[in-house]
Amino acid sequence: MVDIFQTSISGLLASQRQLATTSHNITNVNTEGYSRQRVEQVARPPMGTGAGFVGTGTQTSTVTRMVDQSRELALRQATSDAARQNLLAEYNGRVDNLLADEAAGLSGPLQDFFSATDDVANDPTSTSARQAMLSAADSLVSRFQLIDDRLRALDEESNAQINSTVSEINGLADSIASLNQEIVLARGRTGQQPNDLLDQRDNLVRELSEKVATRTVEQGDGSINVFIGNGQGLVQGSQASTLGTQPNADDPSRLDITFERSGKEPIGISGQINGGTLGGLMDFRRQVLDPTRNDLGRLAVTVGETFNQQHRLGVQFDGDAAALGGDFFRFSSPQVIPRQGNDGDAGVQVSFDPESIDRLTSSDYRATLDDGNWRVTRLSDGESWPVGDPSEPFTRDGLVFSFPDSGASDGDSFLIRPTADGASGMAVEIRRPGQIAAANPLVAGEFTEGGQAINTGNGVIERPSVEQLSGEELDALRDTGGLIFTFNADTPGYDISAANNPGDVLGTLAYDPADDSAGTTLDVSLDGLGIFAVQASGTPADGDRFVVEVNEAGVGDNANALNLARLADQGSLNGGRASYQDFYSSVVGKVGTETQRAQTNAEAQKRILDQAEADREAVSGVNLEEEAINMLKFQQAFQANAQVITVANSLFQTILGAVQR
Amino acid sequence: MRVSTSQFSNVSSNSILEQQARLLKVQQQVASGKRIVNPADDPAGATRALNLQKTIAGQEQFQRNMDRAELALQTEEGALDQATNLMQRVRELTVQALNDTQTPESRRAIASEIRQIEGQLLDVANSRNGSGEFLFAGSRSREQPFAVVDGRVQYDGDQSERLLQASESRQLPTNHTGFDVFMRVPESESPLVGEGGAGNTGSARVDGTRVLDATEEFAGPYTITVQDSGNGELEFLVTGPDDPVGQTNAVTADATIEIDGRQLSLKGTPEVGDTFTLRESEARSVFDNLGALADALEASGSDSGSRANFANVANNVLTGLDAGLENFGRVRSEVGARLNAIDNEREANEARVVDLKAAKSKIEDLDYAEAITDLQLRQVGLQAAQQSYLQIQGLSLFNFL
Repeated sequence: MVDIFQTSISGLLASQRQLATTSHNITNVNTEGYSRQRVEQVARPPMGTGAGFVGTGTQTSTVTRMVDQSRELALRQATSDAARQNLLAEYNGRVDNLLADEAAGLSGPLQDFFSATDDVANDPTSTSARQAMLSAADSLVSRFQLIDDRLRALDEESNAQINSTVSEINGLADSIASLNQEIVLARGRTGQQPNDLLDQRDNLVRELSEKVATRTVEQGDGSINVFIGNGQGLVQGSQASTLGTQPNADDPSRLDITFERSGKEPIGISGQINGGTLGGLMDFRRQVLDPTRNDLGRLAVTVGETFNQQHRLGVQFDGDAAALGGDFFRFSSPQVIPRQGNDGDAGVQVSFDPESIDRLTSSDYRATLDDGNWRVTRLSDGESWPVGDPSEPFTRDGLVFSFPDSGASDGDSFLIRPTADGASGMAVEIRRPGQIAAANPLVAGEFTEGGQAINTGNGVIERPSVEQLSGEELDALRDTGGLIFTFNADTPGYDISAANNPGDVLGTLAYDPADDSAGTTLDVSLDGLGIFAVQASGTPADGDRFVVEVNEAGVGDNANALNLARLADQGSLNGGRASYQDFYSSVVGKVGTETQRAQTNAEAQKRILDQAEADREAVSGVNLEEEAINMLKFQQAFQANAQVITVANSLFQTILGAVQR
Repeated sequence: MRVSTSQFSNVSSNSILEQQARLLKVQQQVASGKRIVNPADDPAGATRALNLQKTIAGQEQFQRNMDRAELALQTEEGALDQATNLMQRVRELTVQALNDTQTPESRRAIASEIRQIEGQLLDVANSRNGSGEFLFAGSRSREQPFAVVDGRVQYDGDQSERLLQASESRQLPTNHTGFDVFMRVPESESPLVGEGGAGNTGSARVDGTRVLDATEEFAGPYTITVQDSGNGELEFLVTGPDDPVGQTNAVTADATIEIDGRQLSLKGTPEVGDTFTLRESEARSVFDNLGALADALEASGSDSGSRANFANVANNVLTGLDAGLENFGRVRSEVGARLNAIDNEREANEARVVDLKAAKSKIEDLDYAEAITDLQLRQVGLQAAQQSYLQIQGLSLFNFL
């Protein structure tokens, strides 16, 4: 006979378990990563009688965790992507803010500097105008440095974050490995799924995905293997591997992420890291931080080099005699970093090419010696060129590579970062207002005797403009006592001779008043005396003389200051197509675009992540209303079972009463 | 779809955060008045705005340059006015001195006034601008350009004019050199100059020169000497660089002499040994003119020869003075033209700055009406998110158990 007591007790027990699980669900309603559980209830095997099978009550088979693995995977993927985009949006945004900030951007100081240069042109003898130009130059340089410092700080911050993220990943990997072990043991002990441990492990894997993209494979014993990058096994069963960081072999200032293997050398996996904050950090460095620093450096180097070139074509009167302008700015030469483990001790030397400085790029380069042949590679696009004769300097992209003939050995490699230090290494070389070479090195005019005009024609030779003039050439010009241009009506043209040696004609320039009197440019290029041009006009009389000589005392001359100020509008970058400001604006635009993209992507990823979370919650989340109903349901079941025991008891008492009688 | 309880608070907090972020953005825009707070808001617009800002700053610098140039030109104009007035006074005095009623004494009095004016003109030529630079020294602007050396005024400056940038493509000169203003002055407005010799004794003086045939090459300078032709008659002997020309003309009163298609006319009667020259006009400093005039006035006597001598010098000086005045006039009109050019350029610049600023404003400035609407919309959005959370949060079955 069926034992009603046993049957209803089984119901009581089942209801108890269900109530316990319901209360477990309710208490964990806010637990991160918790999946609601459900008690699986089945009827006990019936008892067979001649009159059919009679039920014997109920039993609970297991407690199930409500999880949909595909939703879990989608959530992990979304977590990874969102973390990466968030990091990019945040870090790019900081660069973006830095460049856009009126008080911190480069536009203001750049404009101020060239305005101050124009003010020197307006008033070349004013010490205060010159002092203002030097101050403006200082401000420009310190702004370059300020921006570079902040970018460098971001670089250091991202390095620190890489380090801390790597150690977090190691911690998570350890925890997952030990949970693996516990899960395997728990399963072995009971043959049941340890639901809460599984939730914990899933939660850890999700946290790990926030740091770096992961892939998991479940094993037969209930443990999971976690892979990152290109299939590096971070967790295998109860074993966790370790990630590390070490300086890059090419560039020790860079941190590489390494994967440590027992008994072997760690291997670098920086290039294979994707997703998560770690992937975001790598992308930020590669896509925004390094290019922006190089761009800024390139601008600094170009401003310095082009300004210096023009400044050297002016004269200043700071010393005893008029002298050509020196370098106005100082800036760093290209960085050459030998690869760790290069055999030879020979170096590659790289310098800027003043002639083609407008061709400079923001890329880094690599020079390698392979089978005795040097090869230079531009890293931004991977284009490479063989270096023909290594004893000849190799010029490319505004750089001159030279290869000193000493013991470099095959396979040696050098990383060349032409502009990485450009912004930080910039300085104003000139210290005294008088050293600003605002004046034209040459002065032209009619030849005079005792300060009196003697020419009879109305010819004019004026406004010499210097194209090339070295210190030696200036001294040589000074030694001639001035170049005398004597008009020869027969040629017709000007005969040029030195004032000190008028008989010796150094050269002649065709000038026909009939055609040229409205004005023409005469180019003068005499051996050892520089290259310059003069403006000629009018009708000189035969024998009229003009003189072009070194500007020994023209402190009021502003010709070179005007030329310097004009540099602001000239194309000095991108092969002569972009002015300084154009280029800076394009850098701001580039960072702005990257930031905008990262922000848009981050928003999109946030939506995807929200959806993935909602999807997971739809299956695994606890709903209190549902639990309340379940609670009432199980409570009622419990009460009903208790009532059945009462009934069984009264049945039993009835029988007892019948027997006692 | 099944919804978990924590979803409610998640969704609510997410949407409140999101609404707040949007509200903050609009609030930043309204507070700054800029549509583009960060370049990432509109990278292309931000790039354009930066470039426009640079162009505007450049234009404003051009305006400053032109203010500077205008000041320099006005200062020069003032100095030229003074110089012109002085020269006009000299011209009056010269005309007065040429009057036959003048005695040697009264001419000496005039001479001393002319010496004084010469000193004043020298002061004008050495005048400085507000920052202490010499106006007429060329680029040697810190050294006094004019000095008297051995009784003659000489120029020590150079012949470089200072240019200023008036626009991207245009540079304007802002001064004239002393050489141009005071030294390189044609002696005469006519291309030829006739002079009487200093020791002439006759009453003949040069009355004028003319070019009769410009196509003929002038091979002078020529010296014309009055000599006895051997028969008691007087004749002019013309000698030139291709000496001797051998040309002779009979001497008459008020004679004219033609050489190489040029004509020299005399007034009065020359004596034997008198000489005249005909040559091309040269450059001569205004100071030399004044000096020569004062010298002649001081040397003038009452006999007919010295009267003629004086008349010769004074006539030449008069043409020189006129040429000098003409030169001042030329320089002044150039200054005027430059001032005009500055005005035009400035107007163009101003118009351009207005356009550029409008373009920049269109790109980066906020449309307030739109922004305020947006702000209100965001506020409503945030309030709705907050209220809906409060309403939903109160709903639970547990409240009824």
